[in-house]
Amino acid sequence: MSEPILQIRNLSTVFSTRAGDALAVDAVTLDLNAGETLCIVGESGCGKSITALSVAGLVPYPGKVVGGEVLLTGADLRKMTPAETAKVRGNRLSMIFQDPSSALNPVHTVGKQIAEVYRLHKGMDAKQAEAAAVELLGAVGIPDPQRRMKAYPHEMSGGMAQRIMIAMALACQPEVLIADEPTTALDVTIQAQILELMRQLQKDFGTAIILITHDLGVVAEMADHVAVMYAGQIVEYADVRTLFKSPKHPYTQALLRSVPSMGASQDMLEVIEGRVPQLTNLPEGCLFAPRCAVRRTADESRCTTITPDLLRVGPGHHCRCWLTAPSADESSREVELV
Amino acid sequence: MSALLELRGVRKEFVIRGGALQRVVGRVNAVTDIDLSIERGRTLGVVGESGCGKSTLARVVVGLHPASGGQIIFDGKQINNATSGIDVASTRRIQMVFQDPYSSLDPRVPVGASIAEGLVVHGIGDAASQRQAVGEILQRVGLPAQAADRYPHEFSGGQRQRIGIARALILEPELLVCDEPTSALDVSVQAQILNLLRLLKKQLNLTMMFISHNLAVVRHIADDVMVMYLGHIVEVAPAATLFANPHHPYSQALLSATPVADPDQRGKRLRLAGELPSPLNPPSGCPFHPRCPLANDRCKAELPALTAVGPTRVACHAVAEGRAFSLHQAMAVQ
Repeated sequence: MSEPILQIRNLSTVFSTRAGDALAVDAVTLDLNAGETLCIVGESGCGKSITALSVAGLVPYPGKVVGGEVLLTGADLRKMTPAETAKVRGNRLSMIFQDPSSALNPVHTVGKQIAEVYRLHKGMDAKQAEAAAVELLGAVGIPDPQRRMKAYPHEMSGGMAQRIMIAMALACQPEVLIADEPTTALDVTIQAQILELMRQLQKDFGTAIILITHDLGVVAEMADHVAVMYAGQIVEYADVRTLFKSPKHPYTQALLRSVPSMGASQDMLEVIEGRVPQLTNLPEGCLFAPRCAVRRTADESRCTTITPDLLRVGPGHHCRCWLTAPSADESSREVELV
Repeated sequence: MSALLELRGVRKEFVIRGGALQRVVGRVNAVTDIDLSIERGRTLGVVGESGCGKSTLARVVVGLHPASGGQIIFDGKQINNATSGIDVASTRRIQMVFQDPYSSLDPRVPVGASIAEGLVVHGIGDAASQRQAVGEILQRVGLPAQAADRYPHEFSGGQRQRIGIARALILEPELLVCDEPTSALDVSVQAQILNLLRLLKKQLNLTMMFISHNLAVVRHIADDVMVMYLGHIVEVAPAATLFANPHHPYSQALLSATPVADPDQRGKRLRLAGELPSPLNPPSGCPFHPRCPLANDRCKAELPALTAVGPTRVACHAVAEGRAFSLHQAMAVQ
């Protein structure tokens, strides 16, 4: 396979708070190939959104990316000057946020906001940019794009506003699109439309997508590869079929079993006891150990003393667990996702 | 079996005022002609997308909004009147769990005081017995009795929703109305709350009305399911029937649009074009006709009534006329 378009290497982000330093993203390493969709999934507070923001260089204060590399076709985004990053963002790498109505500027028409992308990155004049924006609105399925150009964000429904966001993000046909919960605020029939639109545009432009979501249904629908995060760490990484059919990490297994099924009514759902640990007060050893049902029956002392590495457990399948991963001294030790 | 709750022709209209003089500039029928009944001990799931009127319906049932018309019959007696919602004696027997456990608790008072509020309002017991009742109900929802002295910010989302449930249950209601009780929660916490609700329903012999936009959650918890669209009931059926064999084109599209956590099921979707019309300016005839691939002239002109098809009641001309079978093909062509 060719060189991945985006390589994330040991990316770490710390939030300095009064309660201490919180390692929100802990040495995340991921590859993204052209035209592929990588889903990052996990519960609130697992660090999936901060990972996305760290990649885009948009971590809010008091957070700070403290280490690692983000290589876009080999060039490290973290080593670029602000002027250089500004050229990349919105052009070669762009982002869609969860709540479209708050991500759009309320005092400008949507047409002006989309045209701005073309003016900044493609150096078009106002007329050309407007024409390009109208065409783009049509491409993302906005009826009557000419008239919609003059509309303000508050005049749009959530689904419409998210289409506008996608239009802006894809205006320059970026190589990488980071979508942070793009359909969480939308109804299911609209969600289906937006997911289909993303898939279609990916096919047309060959865009690689990092899709952040907590919805395992959306993951099953969209992903080629999946990274499961817990308390700032990737705990499992696999292609989508492997992850759903033979998950290795106890957290992934429990997460999949806690989703109610549409097929039949179960009596009781499986629950994960306890809650995500506070990042300023992490447990010793495996971060999931205090909630892990497998550990409770296994009696493995390393779980509560030594943090497991993310190890290869099969072709393209990596897992961070003492109990289901091979032991660390085996020859297959291939640290991280290389 | 007798119906614990029955609605007959219930509607709720909101008046929209605008301008300096706050004149009436429009009217919105949030829910229209709702006929339903819930038998004692059963759970009715209400599904639909934002703006379909499901939350308004819940609020009408618990008396937070007075109904604009129709009858609400609880345990054989009409309990609503046109001006003031439902009568106070009945409010004790109908309680509600709200969506957002972060904003539904007063951050300035200990949760014990929030839970006991219903007892105080209805003048039940003295301070000591109220305190005891709070402790007991907290244990029932899986929290220690001492939690009563702590403040909402000290609890996680799942714990707060347990408190919300305790607050609704302390008056020993017969009907519990849950409005999206797990939408703000993570899946693993959602599973805890759903299990708790099922358990409590069994222990306390509750009747429930469960509002959600999440079909899988409704499948899990409901005995019967009602699908709403733009303020109207479009289909009601026993849960197993509705999920196995939905009749209304909207129910079919809704089921199909929901992503399933199985990569093998990918892409097999009926996709609806367009969006929910504005309730301010609803379409003529069947409210679903602008998005419906089966719509014809009759659908544009005439509002379909709920008709029985086996155990299902469905409001659709296409189903009634036997035109509905080719829906999958119809959507594939689109």
